[in-house]
Amino acid sequence: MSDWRFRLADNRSTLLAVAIFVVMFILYISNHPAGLTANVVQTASNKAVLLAFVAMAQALVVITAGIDLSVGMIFVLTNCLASWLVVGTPLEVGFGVLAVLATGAACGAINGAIVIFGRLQPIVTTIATGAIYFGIALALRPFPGGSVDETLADALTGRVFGLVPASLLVLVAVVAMIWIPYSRSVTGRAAYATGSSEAAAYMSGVPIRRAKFVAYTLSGLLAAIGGLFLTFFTYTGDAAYASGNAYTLFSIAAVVLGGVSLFGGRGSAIGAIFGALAFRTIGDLLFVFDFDPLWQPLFQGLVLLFAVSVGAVALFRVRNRLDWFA
Amino acid sequence: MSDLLLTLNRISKTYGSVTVVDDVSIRINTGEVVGLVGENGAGKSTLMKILGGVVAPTAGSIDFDGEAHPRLTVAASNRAGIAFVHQELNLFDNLSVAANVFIGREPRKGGLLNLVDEAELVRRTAPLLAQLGADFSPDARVADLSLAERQLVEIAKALSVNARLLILDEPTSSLTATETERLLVTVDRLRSEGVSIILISHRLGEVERLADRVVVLRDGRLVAELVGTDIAAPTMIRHMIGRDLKALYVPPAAAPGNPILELVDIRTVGRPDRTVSLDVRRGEILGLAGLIGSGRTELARALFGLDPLLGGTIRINGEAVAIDSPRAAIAAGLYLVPEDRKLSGLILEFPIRDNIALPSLRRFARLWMVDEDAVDVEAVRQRDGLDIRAGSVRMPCGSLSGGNQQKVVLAKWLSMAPRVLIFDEPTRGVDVGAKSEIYHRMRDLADAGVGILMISSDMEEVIGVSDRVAVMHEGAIAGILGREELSEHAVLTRAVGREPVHSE
Repeated sequence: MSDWRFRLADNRSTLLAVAIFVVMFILYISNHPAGLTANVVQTASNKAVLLAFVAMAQALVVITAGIDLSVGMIFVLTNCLASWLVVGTPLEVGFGVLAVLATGAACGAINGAIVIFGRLQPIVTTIATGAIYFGIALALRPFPGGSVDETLADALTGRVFGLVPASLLVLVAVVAMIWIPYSRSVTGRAAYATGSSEAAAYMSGVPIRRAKFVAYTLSGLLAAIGGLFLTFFTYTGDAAYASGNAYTLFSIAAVVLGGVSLFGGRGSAIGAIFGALAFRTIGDLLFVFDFDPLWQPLFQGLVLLFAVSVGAVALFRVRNRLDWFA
Repeated sequence: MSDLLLTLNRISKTYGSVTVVDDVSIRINTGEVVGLVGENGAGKSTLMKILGGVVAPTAGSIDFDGEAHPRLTVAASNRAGIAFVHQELNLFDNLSVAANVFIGREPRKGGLLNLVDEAELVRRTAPLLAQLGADFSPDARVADLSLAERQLVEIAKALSVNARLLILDEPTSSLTATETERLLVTVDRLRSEGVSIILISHRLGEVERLADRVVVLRDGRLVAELVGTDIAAPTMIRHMIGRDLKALYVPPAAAPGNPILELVDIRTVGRPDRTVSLDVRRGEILGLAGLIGSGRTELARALFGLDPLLGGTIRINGEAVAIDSPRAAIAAGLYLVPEDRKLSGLILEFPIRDNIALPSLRRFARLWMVDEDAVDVEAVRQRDGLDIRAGSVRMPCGSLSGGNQQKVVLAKWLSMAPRVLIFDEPTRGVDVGAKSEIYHRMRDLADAGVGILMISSDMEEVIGVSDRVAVMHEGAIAGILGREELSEHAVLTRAVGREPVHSE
């Protein structure tokens, strides 16, 4: 048995997510009235990166066999916070950005600490902390408002060299600077081991607590990057409950679509990103095919079911193959 | 002679270029116990999967009821009255015995709601349990039953579909001696009632006792069919491995040195009122014998930091160490090869290489990032050193045989220079060939200066492999036997606490 077959099997779910997205995006572009222009790509990218960041955040926690139902609320909270802090002189803006990111990371760290030391189930813990984070967001912005440094906002939502969407570059940079080092680090490996079999990981002396803590904290940080971008797009802060909840649920959909196993230990944040991109493209597809926007949730649901079924079929086949080798 | 029930007629199964089962023919008569033995990977499981209808043979046929079937489906297998009792039981812990036996086939009351007829359920289960000589009620919750009793529930389940052929896969691997005895009696009784049985077991003594005929597989081929007085463990072993097994005991290369692991007045959660004091010397294999429940596993768990240590001192290499977690134990150079390797020894979905690197990831890290090439090099080195049979170190551990999985667990620890290794039932579910390899590896380790503590319920193993044996009884050491005093009798009398012992 050659190595590449096993490597392929390991990354099959991620590759499938990429394939689903590529097919959908080609379908979208080929039916778009303007075709493949920098403008179309920029719009698509800007719409998709928000969910991509939140889905990455979700993926980190799901890999440890947990789930984070507060990601959407951290996203909303950091949006509200950014609408206060990311203004003023360049120095103030810089500190504002750092403060927003630190807040997100702190929210994640609190989730992690409660799950680890309180030994509470992640699902319940994050429902509770999510409500708290939303409460703080509401206190910060009882009504939509505030502002953000427009130079920075426009730079990060515009195009670089008039061609590449800046938001996409930031996404790539975040993958390169956070996900790749993390997934290859000792702690990242520990996260996968913990998610696969906590008992075996513990018996091997794997630092389980640190793995979980880092996963939740980075998750909060990634959600905060998403929150910042939301502010850059909207120029305001808005403690929108429905939006927070929608992002939480969509992040789970994106993670599953991206081939991250909800049982933990399998998948990657890159898969989750493509899951998010694919999920967003569903909506765009409906647009180019001139469907009534009222049908969007229904079709999103149908496409999600279909896509997840395709993934399940592939998984099923892998299982049988593994049986063969026995 | 009894009637023919079923014939496997020149069955072959190939996967690509690999032949797993090669031209095997077996006939099974009514009311006959056929022992099926062979090392792991000999083709037993595949053959059984073919009988269960899960796998289709590449060539050959299965003949029953006067018809030749090129393959069985799961439904056809059920119709033919073939029932399995797997090594890993498939029961619902929170349901009653009766509910488990008739799961999915519950008698209904009819009417609008068509509810389950609980009374009828119990009424139908009771005779099945009586037939097996079980003394628990059909209402008992499975969670409250012992492992042996759960096994009877599985057999009852098989009987409830009027099984004509019962396939028992390693039925006694986790039972105590008394429980095993009872199961063997049950098998005898089923045979007398006309049920045919295929018994797959590594415990050759049981096969010897029960089987009317023994089929030996090696490398997918049927190498021997034994009847009558030929059914004897040495003969079976010779056919299984194709050679005579060398004597188990290999004396140490040098006389044992200073104690490397010293236990002083250790108290564990198992028996907080008793204390254990014990030395494991550098370069020796100390066997730890005793009945199930005598406190051996609890001692190992406490030493490895899984259970809290209630009192006493652990010294490694003369230095007292505080062990409050597996991490602390590992840091002190004390490793455990656990009994349940599938749950806590390995991550089955992980490739071999990642399992080997798991406890020592830090060592493979450069600037916090795991150096994948270094992991590959170490994994390949361990695979070759331990002769782990796998084409690629990226193969998931779940697809390895029991013996090879155990070797991966061993590889994990060997890659990190152990000082003390505790083996808890090191060869449970491991085939004969891999067993002797594991014993040799233990001896090599001991000769390299590692202290080895081997917990085992397998008397042959305890006596055959250990340099000294400590026998536990009710949470305390009931005696320590040197090599020259070792005998089954000596170990057993101490294990059951029959011989008066003065102190620990």
